[in-house]
Amino acid sequence: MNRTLKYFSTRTRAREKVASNRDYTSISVEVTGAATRLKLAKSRNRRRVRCYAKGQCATVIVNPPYEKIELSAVSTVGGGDRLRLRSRRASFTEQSATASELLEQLDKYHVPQADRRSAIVYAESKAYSGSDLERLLSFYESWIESHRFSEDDDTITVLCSAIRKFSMNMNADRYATYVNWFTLSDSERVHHDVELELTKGTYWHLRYLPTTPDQALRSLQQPLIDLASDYLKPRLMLDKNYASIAKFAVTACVLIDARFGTDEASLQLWSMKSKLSMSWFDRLVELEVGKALKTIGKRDADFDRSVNELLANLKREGE
Amino acid sequence: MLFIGEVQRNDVTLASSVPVSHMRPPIRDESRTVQFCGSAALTAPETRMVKDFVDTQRRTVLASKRRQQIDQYAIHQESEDISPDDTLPRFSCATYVTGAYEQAAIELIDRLIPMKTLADLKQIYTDPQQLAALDDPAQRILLGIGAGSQWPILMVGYLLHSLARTPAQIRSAPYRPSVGDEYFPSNASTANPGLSSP
Repeated sequence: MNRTLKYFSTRTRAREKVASNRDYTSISVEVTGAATRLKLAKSRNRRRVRCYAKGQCATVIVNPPYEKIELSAVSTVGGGDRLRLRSRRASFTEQSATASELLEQLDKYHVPQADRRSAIVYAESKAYSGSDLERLLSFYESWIESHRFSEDDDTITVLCSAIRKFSMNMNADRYATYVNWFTLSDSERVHHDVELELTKGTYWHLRYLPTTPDQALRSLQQPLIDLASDYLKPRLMLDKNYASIAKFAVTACVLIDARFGTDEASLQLWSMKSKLSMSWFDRLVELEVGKALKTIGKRDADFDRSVNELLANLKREGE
Repeated sequence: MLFIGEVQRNDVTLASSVPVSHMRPPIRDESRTVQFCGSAALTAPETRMVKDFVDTQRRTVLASKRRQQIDQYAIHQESEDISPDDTLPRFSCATYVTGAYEQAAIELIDRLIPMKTLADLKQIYTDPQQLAALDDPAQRILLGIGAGSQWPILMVGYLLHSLARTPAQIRSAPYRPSVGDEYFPSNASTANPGLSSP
């Protein structure tokens, strides 16, 4: 719940009436030269005053049962004529928010950035289907597209959450959109953490969900080949999370080839991997393929057999 | 907790603060003092493989930090499978460590472990939020104990017993815990531990 308090005329003072008994019945805000003073009143004339330096984050504890209202910002907004108080605990994003409440929050045009981001993160653990799922994926499409080059740490975290959810819920019609998120612009890169999540997302999609060997599925393979080819270099493999990106790219590429009964791309990447002579990376890839087989074997015997055959072939060729 | 320092430390005492990655909850990287420590004497390649686990989870960890603590914690997990409905991986402080070691192809704990009941869990978990969650059917599903009456829950004590073995023993076979191994050293006379939660 965000409250925007408007200053009255020229006085540096604002009041808000709130209905809930658990909240203050009124909050007065007085800005002096050095401090912000909150005058907080409950019913039955209980009053409290809190002082904060300008810009300082404030936490206010209301009366028993000591529910906390966190005022994450006590600062003037919009040319000094408004004061915004944000109560994190009272926000819609608390754990009890339903899937449809979160979706409403994502769909609204005017929503504070922090609330929208929290809604994305919380939606990751909610079940969506039918038209709600379509709405969610449509929102993700535009949000991910407009943030995928971000270098801001908080944005990247939320972006990765959105990618995880999207990858596990997209159908073949959305593969083209997903593939496009791997591409760089002529002046901006996709952050390596985002690349990891995109690659892992493709791998998860192939490991956990049934797929059809058609042109759309094949389109998922090219960005994996490109990424793996770029990162399967000795110097890069020991830096940052590049080895993890390469691991998921190689594994996902193998799964796609196995789905089609082909081996060309996998052979190419397997050969690059073997030339690295990094035994730990070989073991990582084998371990991940093993995990995938464990999941796939439970639902699709043909796919499982195909992956095993391709793996045997790759090992033979690699010797 | 996983030690995530760049250099091996042989000088750790109860007063030492070392860099660790652990499921508190929330999962976080920070400097902490330690009461116990064990090592499988990881080789450099194995360390790289554990690093892959930490790297892979990093953004998940940061997303988890935005959520309420209890929302990212799992007392028990049947498998590491992800579903379209919930794409956020969850751990307990013990499974966060075993998951990392599994990435290095080292299985620390056998799959056959003692069963714990809800009554046992209420003695183990002392955090009020976690205790409240144990009585909430919806929360119990998220915690991995929605169905059934007893579960094979991986306790921190089991990890200590596993890592107290020689590196060769650790690699040769996973440790199979028995009742009482929740304590370190083992206390077979007490089935319900009053030690730290997993």
